[in-house]
Amino acid sequence: MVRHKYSTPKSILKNNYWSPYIVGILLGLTLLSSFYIMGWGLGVSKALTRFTAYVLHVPFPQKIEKNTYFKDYIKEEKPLKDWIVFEVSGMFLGGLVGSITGRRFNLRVERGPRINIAKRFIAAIFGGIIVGFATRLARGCTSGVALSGGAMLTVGGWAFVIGMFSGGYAIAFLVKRLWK
Amino acid sequence: MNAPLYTYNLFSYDVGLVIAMVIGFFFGFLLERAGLGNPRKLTDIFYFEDFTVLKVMFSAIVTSSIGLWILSKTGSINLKDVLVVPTYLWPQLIGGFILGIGFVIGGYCPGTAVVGMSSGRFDALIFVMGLMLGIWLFAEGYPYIKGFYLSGYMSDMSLDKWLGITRGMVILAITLLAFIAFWGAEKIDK
Repeated sequence: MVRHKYSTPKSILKNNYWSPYIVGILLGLTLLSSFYIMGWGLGVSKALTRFTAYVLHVPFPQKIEKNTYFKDYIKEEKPLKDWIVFEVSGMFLGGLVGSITGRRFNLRVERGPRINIAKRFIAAIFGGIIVGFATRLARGCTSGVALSGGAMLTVGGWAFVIGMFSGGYAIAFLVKRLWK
Repeated sequence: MNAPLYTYNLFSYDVGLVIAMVIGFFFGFLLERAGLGNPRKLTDIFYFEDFTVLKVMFSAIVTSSIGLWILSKTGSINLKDVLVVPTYLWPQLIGGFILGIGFVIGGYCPGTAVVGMSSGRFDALIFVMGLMLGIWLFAEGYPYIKGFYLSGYMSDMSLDKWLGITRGMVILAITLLAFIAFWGAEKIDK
């Protein structure tokens, strides 16, 4: 048995989370408010795309301005003054307040019982690269395409949901060692 | 008909940015409360152990779609004014598939990674750096992928128009499917 110095013991996982159905309903009402008030849903990956373009623009200004994909994300005078960037900043705060008030805030590396921190980091960066690429191909992620699109009944949103679960289950048993 | 409120100029863009923070706050707070900042809980669904992801996601979709349906039927919101990500069928199906693979390897999707970071997880920070690299990779490769990226365009096509049935029928079907899935998930969870 590997000791879990930097990871959450399984016993804590079961404690004091809210019912997923209650959270789902409240999240649905949050999404509905966004539709009603703003006229669009929630999202995350577009904010990260703006941020990436913004960060890369510092060392490589000409390269990013000429890049046919990134140029649309930095053309404004203040490219980060975008609704979705503020929404994601709010998410960060919400997660912070939620984890502190739920007594779950804890600096750590979350990992499966059979891998060390180095392997967890390699999996995290590799998985992140794959997901980042996929969000641009799909024009959004689980929030913007699956959740917001799904609620608006878009064909693309539901195709994405089917694709995502298929991809997850297709790979899960090959990488079981990462988590179990 | 006076909604979406912003579309009908009821407030300025800067006020909208404050609203963005508030809406985002609830989004992040709720994901954290369900335990969705934790990659072990997030990936459990793929090992048939914990179906929180499915329960949260489908409860939210059902609630929101029924809400939208009621608001549009009572004439309080014009669904034509609601912006959605346009459908490009093939890149979204394949993009979803690739995202699912990265989700299980890395432990997060973008939104849950933000919450993972803000609840103190270093692996979430590394994952977000990966996201940025992946986005960069896409931007560099864009000229080669563009053809596929633009394939299967269907504009704002919705399931009801596509299937030729009413919006209410589609929502009813989704709700029933969700309840069957919840029932199955509860059985496996026990």
